[in-house]
Amino acid sequence: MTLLAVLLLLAAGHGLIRLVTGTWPVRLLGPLAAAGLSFLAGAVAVGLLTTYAAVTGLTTRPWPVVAPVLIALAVAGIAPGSLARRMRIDRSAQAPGFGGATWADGAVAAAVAVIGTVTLWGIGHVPVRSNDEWAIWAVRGRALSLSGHLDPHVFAGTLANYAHLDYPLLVPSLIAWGDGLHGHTDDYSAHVLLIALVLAMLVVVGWALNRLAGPFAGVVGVLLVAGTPRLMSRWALLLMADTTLVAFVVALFAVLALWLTSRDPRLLAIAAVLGCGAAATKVEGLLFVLAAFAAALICARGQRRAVLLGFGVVVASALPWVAWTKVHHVQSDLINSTTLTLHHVRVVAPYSWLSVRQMARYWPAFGWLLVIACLAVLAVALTVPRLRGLVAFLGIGFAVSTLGMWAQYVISAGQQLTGQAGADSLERHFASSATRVLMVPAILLTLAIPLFAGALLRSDPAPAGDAASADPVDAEEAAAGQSLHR
Amino acid sequence: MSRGQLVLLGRALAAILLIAALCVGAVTSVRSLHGARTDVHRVDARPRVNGRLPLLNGPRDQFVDFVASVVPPNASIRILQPLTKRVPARPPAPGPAGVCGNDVNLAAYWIFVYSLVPRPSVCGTSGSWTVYLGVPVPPGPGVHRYSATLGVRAP
Repeated sequence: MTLLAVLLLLAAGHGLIRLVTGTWPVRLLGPLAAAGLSFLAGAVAVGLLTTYAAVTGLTTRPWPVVAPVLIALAVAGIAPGSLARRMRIDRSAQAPGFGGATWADGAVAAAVAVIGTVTLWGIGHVPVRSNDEWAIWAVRGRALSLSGHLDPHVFAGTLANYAHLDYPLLVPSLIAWGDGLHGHTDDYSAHVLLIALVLAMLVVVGWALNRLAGPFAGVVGVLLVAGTPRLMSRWALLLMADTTLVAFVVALFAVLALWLTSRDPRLLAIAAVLGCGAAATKVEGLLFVLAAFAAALICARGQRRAVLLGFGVVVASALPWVAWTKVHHVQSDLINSTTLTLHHVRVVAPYSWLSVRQMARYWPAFGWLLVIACLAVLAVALTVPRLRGLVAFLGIGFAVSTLGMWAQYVISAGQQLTGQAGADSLERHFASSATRVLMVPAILLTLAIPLFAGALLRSDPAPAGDAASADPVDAEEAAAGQSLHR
Repeated sequence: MSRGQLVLLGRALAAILLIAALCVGAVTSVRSLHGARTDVHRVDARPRVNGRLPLLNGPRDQFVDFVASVVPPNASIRILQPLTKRVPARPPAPGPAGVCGNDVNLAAYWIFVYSLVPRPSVCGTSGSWTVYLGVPVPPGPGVHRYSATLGVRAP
């Protein structure tokens, strides 16, 4: 049943990508990225469908609503070309894509296969075992799968101590999806689904780096990301949303970077789907999506309307859940009417520098030497005109993500305690959360090394690299079919 | 140094950096995967109580199953726990103290809530089953006593 849950997700995601791009995914992306992005898109479909079913009062058990829609998506994904064109599913099958399996993609696939095998081995023996699992994520997943609806007692609290009620439902939906197909609660399916999302992200990162920075960059990027402290050794083994958020956001940045160098609108459509996934995973997902699309907006002169449309789709996808929380008076623990005041900002301002020091202390990296290397390679790449666009994109995305996380920590300080007690409380908050919450900006910075070292190594500039140069070309010119077809 | 030599030097440095990153990535990812294996083995080796890890220590782990056998799956539960000392200057809890996770041992509360899903934890008495988790169980009709401080009362 776990295999069925994975395959149905994969097939539905494949269909979703075919629908939004109008192209056969394998032809557009190649087999490696088609598999990775299909799985991520399938998870988005499950998350959003379950959320929409829940907020409209329909059942959250998979078979009555979610599974039939996924099956329909899966069928759309495998519809024959002639039928698909008649149904306007296939619209531009002749356009070049980003596929073409190379040995570099093979190396990425092999590395991810090894990482996946080792991580998944024995995961069936791991039950729910940590605080955030039973207090936030797994409890809501089980409430969706067992009660079959959005029970206001659980999801709106009504004074009972349920934590972070404003968090969106993608991860609980995936847990419920695995449970639903089994017919009972099943930690194994939930673990497999969440770990597979991380593996899908690794595949997408490797695929994108191979095309952006040459054939050596992909496998280096995969290993660096997989080696991020505690990503695979701790957080990926728990039923929590942090690694899922990393999966969507890092894949989003990878696809948007490839879009910047190719200006293929189909990639922007896929990026919007990934953005929907990030926004549906955690509240700060929307911040990271904002960082990614803001960076793309600044770097993609001439195509800003398309970028804004993509971001608009992401925001629109999150609205039903936000509306439900507003109707049920569910407030964010961090961003709410109490913290968004001038008075509160004055109260928490003294914690600004402490937050910077704590972020440096808990930054999830292999050491400061590597961080310095990342910054150095960013600086060197800035001197190369054809890379300036990508440097700006990654730099802005990293800066906005990091600043956003810093602001979130500062605002969270002083809510309950002030003075030294408040500082101690903030330090405990960092100790319990920073290594996982800061993974997104840390990984974005780490990816600078394979991206720019690989790109600097390339003897031939990427044909579409000009589109991402210091002076981004106009939309029409850039969109004139440039691609990184290999 | 000519421009060509500079480009060559830049490429050489980029190659060195990429190889160094490959080595760092290989070492850290192997270390990370080893950590994952160790964690899985450690959890696997721990004893279980009806498939769950014994996180509540002592009879309360079995008491979860007792509650699940008594309270119907569609019923709500009101969990009573001993009060814990409130940190000074901390604002008051949103709900009544000692009930539904307010001013109590939160770890035990959440483990209990999770173990009893889909029965929602509520604060009010109306229509809900009362779970005595570490507080004296009163005598009376409808009381299912597990021990002196563990029990369930029907609505």
